[in-house]
Amino acid sequence: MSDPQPIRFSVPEAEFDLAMLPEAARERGSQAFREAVTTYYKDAYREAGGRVDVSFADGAIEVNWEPQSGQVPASATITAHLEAGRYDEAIPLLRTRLQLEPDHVESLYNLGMVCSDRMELKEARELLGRAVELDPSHVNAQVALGIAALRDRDTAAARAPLEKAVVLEPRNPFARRTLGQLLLMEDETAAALPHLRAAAEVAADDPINLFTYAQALLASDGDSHVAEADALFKHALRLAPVGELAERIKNQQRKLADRVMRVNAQGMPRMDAVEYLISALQAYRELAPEGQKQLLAEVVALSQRGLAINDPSQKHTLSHYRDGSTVSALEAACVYYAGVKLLLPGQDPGLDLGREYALAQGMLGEKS
Amino acid sequence: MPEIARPGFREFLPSANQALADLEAATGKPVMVVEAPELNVLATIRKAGPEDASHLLRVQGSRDRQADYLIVYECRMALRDGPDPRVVLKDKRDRRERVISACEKLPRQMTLAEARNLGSFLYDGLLLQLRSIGPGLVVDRWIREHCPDLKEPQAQVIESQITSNVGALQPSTRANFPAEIYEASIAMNAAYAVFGGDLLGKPYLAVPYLSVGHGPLARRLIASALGDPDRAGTGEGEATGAPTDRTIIDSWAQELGVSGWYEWSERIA
Repeated sequence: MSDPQPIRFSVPEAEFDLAMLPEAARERGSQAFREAVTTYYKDAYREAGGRVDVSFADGAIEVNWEPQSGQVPASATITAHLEAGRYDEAIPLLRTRLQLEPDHVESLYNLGMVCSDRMELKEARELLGRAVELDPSHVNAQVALGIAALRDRDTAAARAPLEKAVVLEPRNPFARRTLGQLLLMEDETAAALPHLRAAAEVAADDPINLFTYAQALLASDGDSHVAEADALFKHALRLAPVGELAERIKNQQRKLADRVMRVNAQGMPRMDAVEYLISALQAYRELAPEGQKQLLAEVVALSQRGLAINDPSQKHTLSHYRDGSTVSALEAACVYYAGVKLLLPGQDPGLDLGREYALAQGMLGEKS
Repeated sequence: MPEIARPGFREFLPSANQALADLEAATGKPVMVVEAPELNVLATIRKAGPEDASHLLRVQGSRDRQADYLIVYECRMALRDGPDPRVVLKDKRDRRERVISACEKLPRQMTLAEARNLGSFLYDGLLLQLRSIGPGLVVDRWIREHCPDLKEPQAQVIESQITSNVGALQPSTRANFPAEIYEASIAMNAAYAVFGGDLLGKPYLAVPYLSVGHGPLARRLIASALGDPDRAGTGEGEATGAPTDRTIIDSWAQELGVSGWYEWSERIA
């Protein structure tokens, strides 16, 4: 005999078959109607055993039958739903369990996490608060409570549970990282660094840890940590080569390269960049619109892989630039910058060559 | 012997091997079984035409015993046609357009192109349900009676289908689909749930539908599909006078108010 599967469904109150109910309970929406409907479903599943929950909301009847012979939804079932991201299925089971066992810490924690992920932060904080009250040694619940408070922009309330979590488990990377992030938000960079470094050491294959630590290094004393931050960004990008984090890393890499360039130029505009921008502007002017787009697409693709603009030994070939040219990374960056300015006005190129670009325009007799 | 297209396909249960052999014997052509994870249904069979070397049976997954049940199910469905190419439902342009037009009038925000796509999708889906559910009841009953090794996987598939179908009952679904399509589709799901509940000894599977009054129509649909319970599903439908697929489908269409939504064709499915 195959294991029975849970049945969850929702039907409009208006469509419930009144013939199934006693005559006295046929006024839809009335208390008698709801009680009779509840009885109907409980009777319908009685022979199958398990547990039936019936609720009414927004004109709908929601029925949840859990075919467990015991009195509470199975933890394994809940865990399977949570691990698969099936929150809609996990939530009613967690609520059922908490109705039966209000102090069940793991359910408080799990439901709190789900609510937090859904940005239902008031409930999340209440649930997680109860969880840590019942079990102050529950490190994950302490971290989750801190994260929920952070999401709720309540940094003051986030600090205590995160500090407790770090004391309870000093090598917990989530606790370390989240506390470090909190301290960064509070401009306590020096205090944040040891936590973020610890998180990056404990979970060195987690690109978020590496990225956050690199950012903190730059925020603390950027110029003396450039090489370390650059290495961390590169490592993080290898671990997360695509996606939102990858884009944030690339953006930070461009800013870091820009910062190094400025340091090298001692605050003055770089004249080699001005020359490259002049050349790039002329090249775009000589191309038909389609050719301009192709050149920009090529150089955008190149820049997405990262341009080491402070390393003159790095060369790139641009097939759409001046009938195919080999250029330095800085020159490629200038072609990219000019292309964004000309073809995508209003967009941020992510690289500050504004002064050089204005000079190049002036030298070409163009208005900036 | 049946040809197994995919190297490493595990050994089938006896009932699956027998069903493949039966179809081969009845048609003179082997059955190629392929795993097709891209399928949006559990399994399909394309019966060989005169110029085809083999029938093509595609199964969404092959890792567990449910695949054996699906192989038998599809082979028995194909056997119901006898040796000839399978009769198919052909769509009717005016009915398709009618569904599309109904989609354009739905309250949800859609472009005309989206409404057209949705309308076509729903129309095709309805014909697919009509083609498969009624005759499928006959086949499922036959499997239950003749294939003890498939009892468990058959129950798993049927129960899983029924429990996932009930999602369509939720109030928002009705508002988002044309009424004719919605009512017909839900009624067929109800028939499947009532039938499945009876077949598996789990009548509670039909509760969602019974509670909103779909029971009587579901029972009529089941009765018109199963006909004479002693002979239905034997693969000898026309010879014994049991309802043929065409008879079942036409009677279901009439009950569901969608007669005239399709035409019959003798072409290969």
